[in-house]
Amino acid sequence: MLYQLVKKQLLLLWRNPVQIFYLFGLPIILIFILSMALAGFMEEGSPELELKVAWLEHEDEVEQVNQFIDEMEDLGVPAEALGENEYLQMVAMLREDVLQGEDLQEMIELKIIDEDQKADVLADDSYSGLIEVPENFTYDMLQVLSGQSGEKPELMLHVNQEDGIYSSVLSQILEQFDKVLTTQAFLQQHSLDIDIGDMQAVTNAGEQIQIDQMDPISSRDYYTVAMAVYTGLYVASTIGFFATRERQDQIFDRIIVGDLSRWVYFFSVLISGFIMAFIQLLFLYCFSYLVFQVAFNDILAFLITTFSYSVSVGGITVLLTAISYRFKSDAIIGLFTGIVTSILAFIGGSFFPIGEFSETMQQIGDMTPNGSGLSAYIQLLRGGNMKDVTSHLIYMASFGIAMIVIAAMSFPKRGAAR
Amino acid sequence: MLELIDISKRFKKVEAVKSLNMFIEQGEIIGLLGPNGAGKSTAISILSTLIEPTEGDVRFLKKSVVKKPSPLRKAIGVVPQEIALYQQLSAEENLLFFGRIYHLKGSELKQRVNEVLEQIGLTDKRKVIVESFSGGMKRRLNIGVAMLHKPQILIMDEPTVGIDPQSRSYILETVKNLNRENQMTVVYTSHYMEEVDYLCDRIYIMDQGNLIASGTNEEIKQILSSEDTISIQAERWSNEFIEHLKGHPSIRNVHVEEKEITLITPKEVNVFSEIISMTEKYGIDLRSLHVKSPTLEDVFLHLTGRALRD
Repeated sequence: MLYQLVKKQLLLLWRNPVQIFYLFGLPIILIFILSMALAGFMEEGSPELELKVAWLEHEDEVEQVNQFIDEMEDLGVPAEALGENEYLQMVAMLREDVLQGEDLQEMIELKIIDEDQKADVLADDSYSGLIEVPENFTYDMLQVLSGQSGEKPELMLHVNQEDGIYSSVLSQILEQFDKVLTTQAFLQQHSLDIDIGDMQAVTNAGEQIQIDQMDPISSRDYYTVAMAVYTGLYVASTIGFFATRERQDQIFDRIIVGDLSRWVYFFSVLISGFIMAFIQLLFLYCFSYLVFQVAFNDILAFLITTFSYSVSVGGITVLLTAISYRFKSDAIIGLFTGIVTSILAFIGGSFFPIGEFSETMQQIGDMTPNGSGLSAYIQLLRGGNMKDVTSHLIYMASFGIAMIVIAAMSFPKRGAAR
Repeated sequence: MLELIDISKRFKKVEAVKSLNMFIEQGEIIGLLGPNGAGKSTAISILSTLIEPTEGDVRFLKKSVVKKPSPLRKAIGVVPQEIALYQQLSAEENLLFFGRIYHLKGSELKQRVNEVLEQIGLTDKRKVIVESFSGGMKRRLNIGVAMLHKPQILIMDEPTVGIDPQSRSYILETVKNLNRENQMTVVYTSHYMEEVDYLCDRIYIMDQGNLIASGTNEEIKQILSSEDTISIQAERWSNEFIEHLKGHPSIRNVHVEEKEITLITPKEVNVFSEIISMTEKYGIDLRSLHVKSPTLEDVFLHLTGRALRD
């Protein structure tokens, strides 16, 4: 009997071209419009950065490395144990392999300057910053790394405060570099088996920043997901509206007089909402895959995310139905369609990535089912796996179950829906 | 067969039905009459097991069905006041869906769908979407759905509201045939007196939640045996004339329509000559004046002081 009820709901939807357009056509149009309109803002996930950076050294690094090796040999450490000479030249590594390395060379224009140019550079707003290597930096750092001295030297960074994001990026690069050196120092101080060769890791500093950000996504990726989860909410109001009409037209009465349990009807609404949301999401993602090349690498994680979000939508569907039956009014459906859906879409990041403004906004957004779904899909598009989205999956499924429980408690008893 | 015993139903502060007693025997057509708000639909909902009474009992074949309605549900078919159909589905799809709700399946279901379509005269429209049907066709299908599982009792809540005379006549004949040929018990509510007069073996008249009269047609009409219902017909009326009638000590229940006034007088009083004098005095162009046989409408007017459709 449940099958007959669900089949009938889907048939009713199929016979309703306006609702079909809202659920399947409109999202595609919105994906087209929004991804085109906001492509410049979203493309590759971040704006193109071009930094002009000045570099000033107050030391001869080769000389300092040689001095360090000589002293270590005097202490009985053979030169072979210290590794290749070039691996000890950390300032050169930062300058050549990090700042002018493969990952950053297109972003950073590095100018080597003399002491007498420093004042001009600091006054020049076209520079995002000046990195100054103090005297004996390399020697002192090698001393720290080998456990000979506890005073860690620091690079000096002068940033152009008006340059906002550019100087911030520069600071992050140097912080990352410093973090690697600090890690090395810690390892050296706690181990007699010194392996300074591991300092090669320094050269990977730029790549590590990239890995933290995961794969970038395009505006089409983002708005495919954003519109899919947004219009998924309309499945709830559509099926809820059909159910309300059944009460108004006394079809629900006819079903009850047919000696069918109201719970069979209740679950038919729940399952219809779930199935429709699942079909809608699959349709939109298949379409986006074929037309926009929006692809999920982890298909299983994608399907489980879609399942979880559909549970949320099913829960909302049955809650809307239960409330409209209890209050004998379809006003709740109208309120949800006209206002609540838009608020959820806004908070959940469907209109623009609101979570990038602050961590708090992101957390609030993730508390909406659509926001949580959006975050999960975006993680998957960026190369994440099931483990990365587990918390979202649990949240969406829990949200759906909570809605179902509240709906079951609200669903009117015999005769109360009349 | 089916009894309502001292039934009351309260919705918050409104008492929709007050101490209603009814019995329905197999094979009879029962009429439930009353104006809007009389409590007919509430009584029908209790009979249909859709709502529980606040007080009283409903017994089907001597067993209470208030808490365990299944036996009665299997025996009844309900024709709701609304067109309780899926407008986007065809006539056949609606019948197939509701047939399954009534636990019919396979060849039995298909056979019943064909039979019902034949009975309601929609065989050639079986594939047509209900939305495109006329009001009368929708009403016929609405009845057809309730007949699918061959119920013992057909409960019809104002099944002819808002349809053309031809469809109305078709529906009345269908109900009559179902009762005559299949011995189907019918409970029929309406505020069209003539429908109830034509169809029903026994009548219950309700007003403001109370049962105010019950019996066979003749028994009900006997209520007016000591009084005459007089009909006056003219092109137009004057207010003075109407006020004069209402103020006459032997005249009651003056009901004014566009070209007809009905009123009730005791049989022993002859007011004919007085009425003719009044029409001359107030310049009324009198067309006819006669004593009518009492109708159910007259009985209702007599009992409540109001016309049924007021």
